[in-house]
Parts: sequence; structure tokens; C-alpha cells
Amino acid sequence: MDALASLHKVCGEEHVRPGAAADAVDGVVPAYVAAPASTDEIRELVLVARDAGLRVGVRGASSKLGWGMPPAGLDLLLELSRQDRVLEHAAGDLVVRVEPGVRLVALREQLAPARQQLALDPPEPGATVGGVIGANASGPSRLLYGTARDLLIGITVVLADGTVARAGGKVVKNVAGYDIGKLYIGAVGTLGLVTEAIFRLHPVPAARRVVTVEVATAADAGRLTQLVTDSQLVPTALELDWPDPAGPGWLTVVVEGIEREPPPRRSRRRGCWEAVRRSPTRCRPAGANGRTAARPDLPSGSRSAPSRPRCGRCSTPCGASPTCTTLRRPSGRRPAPGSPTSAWVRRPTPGAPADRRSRSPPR
Amino acid sequence: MDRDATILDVMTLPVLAARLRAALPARAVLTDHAQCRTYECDGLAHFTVTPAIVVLVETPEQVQTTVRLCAQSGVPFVARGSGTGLSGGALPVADGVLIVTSRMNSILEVDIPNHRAVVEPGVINLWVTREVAPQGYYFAPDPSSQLVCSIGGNVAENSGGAHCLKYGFTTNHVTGAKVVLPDGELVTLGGKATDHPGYDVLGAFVGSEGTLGIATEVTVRLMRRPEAVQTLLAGFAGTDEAGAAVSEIIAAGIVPAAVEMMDALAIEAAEAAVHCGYPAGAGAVLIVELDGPAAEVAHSFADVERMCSANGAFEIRIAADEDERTLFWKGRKSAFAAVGRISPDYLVQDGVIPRTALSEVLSRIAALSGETGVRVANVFHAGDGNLHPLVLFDGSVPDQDVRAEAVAGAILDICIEYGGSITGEHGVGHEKRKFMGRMYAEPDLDTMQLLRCAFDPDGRCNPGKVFPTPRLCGELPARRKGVHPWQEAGLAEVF
Repeated sequence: MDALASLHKVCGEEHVRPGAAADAVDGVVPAYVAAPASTDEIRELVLVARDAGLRVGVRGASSKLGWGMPPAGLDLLLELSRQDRVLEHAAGDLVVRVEPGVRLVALREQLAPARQQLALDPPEPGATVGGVIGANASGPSRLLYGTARDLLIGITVVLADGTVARAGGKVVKNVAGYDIGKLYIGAVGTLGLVTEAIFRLHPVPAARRVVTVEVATAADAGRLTQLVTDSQLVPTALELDWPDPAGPGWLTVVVEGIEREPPPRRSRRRGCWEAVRRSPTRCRPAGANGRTAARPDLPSGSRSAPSRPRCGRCSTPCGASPTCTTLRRPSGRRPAPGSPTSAWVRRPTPGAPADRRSRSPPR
Repeated sequence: MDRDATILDVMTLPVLAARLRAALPARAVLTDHAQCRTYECDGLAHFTVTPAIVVLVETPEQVQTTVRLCAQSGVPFVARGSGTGLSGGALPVADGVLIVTSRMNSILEVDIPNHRAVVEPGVINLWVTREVAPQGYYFAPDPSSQLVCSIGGNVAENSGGAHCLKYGFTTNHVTGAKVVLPDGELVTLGGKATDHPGYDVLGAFVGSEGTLGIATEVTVRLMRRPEAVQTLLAGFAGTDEAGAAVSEIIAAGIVPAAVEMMDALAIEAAEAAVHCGYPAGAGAVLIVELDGPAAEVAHSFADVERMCSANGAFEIRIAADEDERTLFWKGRKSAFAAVGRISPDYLVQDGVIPRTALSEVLSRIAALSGETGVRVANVFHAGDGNLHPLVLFDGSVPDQDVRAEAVAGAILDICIEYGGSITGEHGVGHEKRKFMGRMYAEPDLDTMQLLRCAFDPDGRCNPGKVFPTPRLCGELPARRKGVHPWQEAGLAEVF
């Protein structure tokens, strides 16, 4: 029996086909493409590949295909589009068990009614859970929630010899045996195929506010970043975006928590506010760089609203547009003599658009 | 095959001792049996093995030298920090070397701007916090032995603590380590950055219970002190009501820093021992601690209070100051030792279940206790489902120890049945090897063994730990009589 026939036998003729140019991984076209539906099928495919001497690769949503080195050879490409089920969501335990082909966006939607989230927000559109594990992809909220290594609590893998191994489990607190799951994070599929993953979840905070300031120099950005990280704020994200080396950069702080904006918090923030105010910064108009938009990743019930029209003037609060009504001068202090009069900080209000995120370069 | 089962040539150890003495400072090598007996056990004091040679290392080079000489002689070795582990992870090997890292106790670097500290493995957990407290920072993992336990041991066991519900375990707070591998090579894993390209070998190393190598330098994450901490103590009629309150708190999206529960028997013991004055007649007591930005804590705390009342708390106390907070924790922290007041002997169990199964599992444990006549007190980290059932028995009554051990084992079986774990923070070590086969299937253990073999093909590094082996003759059930000497001396508290 030739390899193709064996592959057909495992997951049916309709789910195995010869590779086409469109299946190329970094220019390497696989001989066969198979779409298994279960751990068992993956195991069987791996056994066929072992016996036939096929080199195996795996593909989720192809959102990071260019990240690694081109494969030295690729005979069998496993496509995980059929492995896209959320197997179990134990809301009370804040745990979810998923197949690797589940897209993060789909998972987010499924978890939203319980107001829970898998706190991974890599910017690649369409990214799957398996790809995020394989590439150790993460996004801005890694500052607070960590990366996949901090969230993955259980894993099922198929090794190259067909062994199906599990590690960890469905409980967050677990020190029984080696933490094998960590090895698969960032291993780009070189140690085996992830066929199931269990993650701890986090509650979706009731409110999210975004502060963005323009920074003129790297030193400014560093100083402000340090101010925020040294404060007792617990920011979810702190991102620096510098689209044009000749132009200014944008420093964005995301803070999440309870809905009410309480007075003590503001006074505590004043230290940072003052420093920000004294720096040559100004408000960033919503929609600058054309990137501010409604957050597709936020569950529909959340408090963020679509982007508002920009006023085009942000050095003074004109009140001409909803954006400008969100501008507030830090109250109670007059600017020190000689300080720039354009020292305005945007204090986002409920309904203000959460800001864009910068794409991190592939690591 | 474990090396400790292999018979070494009769001259191997004396020759190794001589070579160690030649290579290391004279005071670093102990071979006198009486001196070596000091190190015969760790915190699980009923398993004792006196090592043939003890090496008190002071530098990474000395660790390397010792490990290399062990490798050349084919002698197994075990690393030990402060010896506070509760699973026998640092139990020595009779025909082996014990490498004690407690003299490697320097804090090498404090990097406040990057929130990192670089420490040697013998540094005591709490020293890190003390070092950076003036700047408003702390080291989050807080095992109850944090006054005496070492960072090296924390890394080996992936230690947790009452506050890991919110902040995670050691593995989430270690970003780098220098490690001497079982062949003596010194490698660097990770660094100050949050993650590194390539395999997360550090992630696999943390929690490997000393079987993959010996850490000689550890880079830890420092956390900013929260602005506010608030603690409440609530008395409930029973554990079901308290459990329902916990579920509601978690369901509301509140992540407390700690949620601890004690049942009636544990409360009785704590009252007898430390007179903590918990609500009279309570069938369960809940301690909930919130921390974070002051406004958020105040807001969520009101919710927690309301949820406790709604679920039948008949008395709620709120700590007005640090003293009162300490008082709340006193009963909880003394609970293990306090059980000595109501029972001559007891076993400390450490199992994990999904939080939502709490009430069912407690009923099962109560039923088990009823059937066997063995009393079980329950103290646990309710937020993350980490149970510490205390199985009470009287060692002077024939057979009681065996029955108690059977109950303790049955409790772990229940944890496994509900999809939980056989250990949440104490580790597998020597004690729980035999349960590994119940929690994991053969292929799972084989895969772990693959990792072990990649690092330590000869099985010389902490042999006889983690992996299941048939029980040896003459092995006694794990038990502790009364209060640990360290607890008595005020050096340690047991969670």
C-alpha cells in the first residue's frame, strides 16, 4: 500500500489530497495535505508517516508561516481546520479545553457570555490556539497576564513515534511530574504535535481605559514607561509604537478594572500625570495613523465603543467633537513656567475607543 | 533503574571523598557519619537516609567540580537547599553525595528598574522580599516556610503559597537560571527578559525536583507592592455554604489574592492551640484577602462581603489593621501544627480538585471518614481547589497508621477521579511516586522519562524521586508526630 492510500485509510479520501502551490510553507510544497479530525487520527497519520519515512509539518491558520526557517523538507502537512472544537469550558473553574485548530477569535466569542477570556492577544489575524503555542505568540496584555507559558495548564501531544502523551491537567495548581507543556511552547512543532490544550482563564474586567501620549525621544519613552511600571497602577499593557523613525512615537497604557472611577486612583496617578504633563507631549487624536478602530477582540457586551470622529485639533480641548470632550487638563495644578502649553493628556472616558496595538516583529 | 540500587565498588566512595577534598576547601567536605546525619531528611522527617558524603558548596565552580567528580565515579548525588520540602525531594542517597547549597546565599544583583533580582540558590525566600521591600517591591511566591526555605528549593519544587491563586507559582516568577547539568556542564537558561526564543528549557527545569540539574543562580521577578490589602474572616454553618460563597466570588470575576477555608475539626484544633477566637459554632471559616489598587480593593471587598452574607455567613469580621489581619491568619497558619492538639499523629495530604467539585469531594471525604472511622480535618486553599486534608490517627494503636495511610491514599484517588492532581505544591518527591501511575498513563510517564534521560541518562541526579517505583520493604507511611521542631521554634509555619 502506498503512502497516499494509507493516509486515505486514516482520515478518508475527502480529507487527504496532494499538496498544491498554495500549501507551500515558506516555499516548500508538501507532497500530501491531510486534515485529521481527532488525536487518534493524528496518531495514525504520524504512524503512517513514520513507516513511510514522511517528514511531517503542521499548519493552523497560516498566520505565522513566515516566522521560522523554511522546512528542510516537507512530505505531509497536517491541516488542523477540522480540529476546531472547544471541548470543555468549565466556567466555574476558569478553565477551557480546546483543540489546536480553534481560532482565538472564535474562542473569545465562546467565552464572552461567561465574561471570561483566554488572556492571549497576539495581533496576527485568525491565529489558532495551536499556532500560538507553537510560536509562543503573545500580544500587549502579556504585561499583566504573561504569555502562553503562564496560561497553559495541560496538554496532549503526539510524538514522532506515535506516542500520545498528556501532561498537566485541568487544575491550575499542579506540580505532579515534569511541566512538559512548557517545552511545546515556542517549539514550532519540532517536539511533537499538540492535539489538545487546557488553559486557565481570566475574568474580563468590567472596564478598560486607554491612555496614549506622544513621545518625542526614546529617552522620554523610557522615562514614562519606568514611571508607570514603578507606580502602583497595574496596567494590562504598555506599548510603544514608533511607526516612523523620523517622527514621534506613541506610548499607550491600558488599565483595566472596576467600572467606577474612584477619586483615590486619580490622586495616586497624579505623580505620573504630572510627569507626563511636564513632558513635551500632546494628545493623540483618535484615528491617527488610521488605526484606531473598534476592538474586534472585545466581547460585544464590553464597554468599548466604535471609534469617534477626530477633531483634527488636539493641542487645545475644543469640545467640537466627542473626541475633544474627552480631553482634560490635569486639574489643580498650573503648568510650571516655561512648560509647554500643549501639555494635554487624553483621559479616555467610558465609550472611548480602545486603542490599536502595535504588531510585534516575529521573534 | 535507580543508581541507589546499584552496588558501588567498596573503594568508590572513599576515593571520591579524597578527590573532593583535594579539589575543594577542606571544610566543604563532610564524611563523618554523625555530621552527615544532620542531613538525613528534609521536611518530611519520617524518611531518613544518611548520605555517605556531604559537600557544602560555596561557588558555582564547586558545584561543577563536585558534580563532575560524581559523574566520573558513577556516584549519585542529591541537591539540598534548606531541607524544608514536604515530599522527601531532598532525601539523600546512602551511597551518594548530598550537595548542600545553603552557603551559596548571596543576593547578586537587584535590578529595580527591570523588576528583577539575581540570587544564589541558598538565598532564603523571604530575604529577597526584605532586600527590596524598602523600594516597595516583593517576591511573590510565599510558601509558608518562606522564613527558612531557599530559592533553589523553590525552583526545584515550583513552590506555591496561599497567594498563588492570583500571582502564580515559582515558575511564573523565575525568568532565568544558571544550571549545572548532571555531567557537570554549566548552562544558562533564560535571563532577565520574560521569554526567550527556542525551547523553554527553564520552564521544564522549574519543578523538576532536582532531577535535571542543580541551579547555581536564579533570576527572579520582583513585584510592586499592592497599594492596598484587605482581609475578611467569615463564619459559616458548614463547608457547603462557604464553598458556595467562594464559587460566587470567583464567578463574579473577582480574583482574590487568597481564599482559605477550614472545616469544623480544623477550627477546633486551631482554637485549642492558638485561641484564634474564630466565630463560635462555625462549621467552616473562610478567609478572603484582596489586594491591588485601593479603590478597586474597596469596591470588590464590598462585593465579597455581600456574597458571604448572601451565602449564609453568620459572622463577618474585617481586619482593621495589620495586627488584626495577622490574627485572622494565625488560626489558619497554625492549623497543621494545631491538629497535634486533637490527635497524637496525623498525615498531611496535598491534593487538588477543580474548585467546583469542592462540595462533592468534601462529602466523599466525609463519607470515607465515616466508613473507616478515621477522622479527617480539612484545611485548604479554596480558591484554587488545593486541599490539605489532615488524616488523624494514633500510632500507638496497632493498624491505625495503615488505615490512615489508606484513607490518605483514597483521598488522592478521589482527587484524580475529579480530574485533579495528586500534589498542588508539596511535590511528588519520594513520598508520592507510587501515585504517579494513577494520575498519568504509561506513555505520559515515558515522555517525562525522555526528558529525564536527555538531561541525566545515567540517572545519577536525585535518583528515586518523582517516578513511580515499587514500594521498598520497610517503608513506613508518611506521618508527623505533633509539632515540627521548626514550628515550635517559630521558624516555620505550615499551611
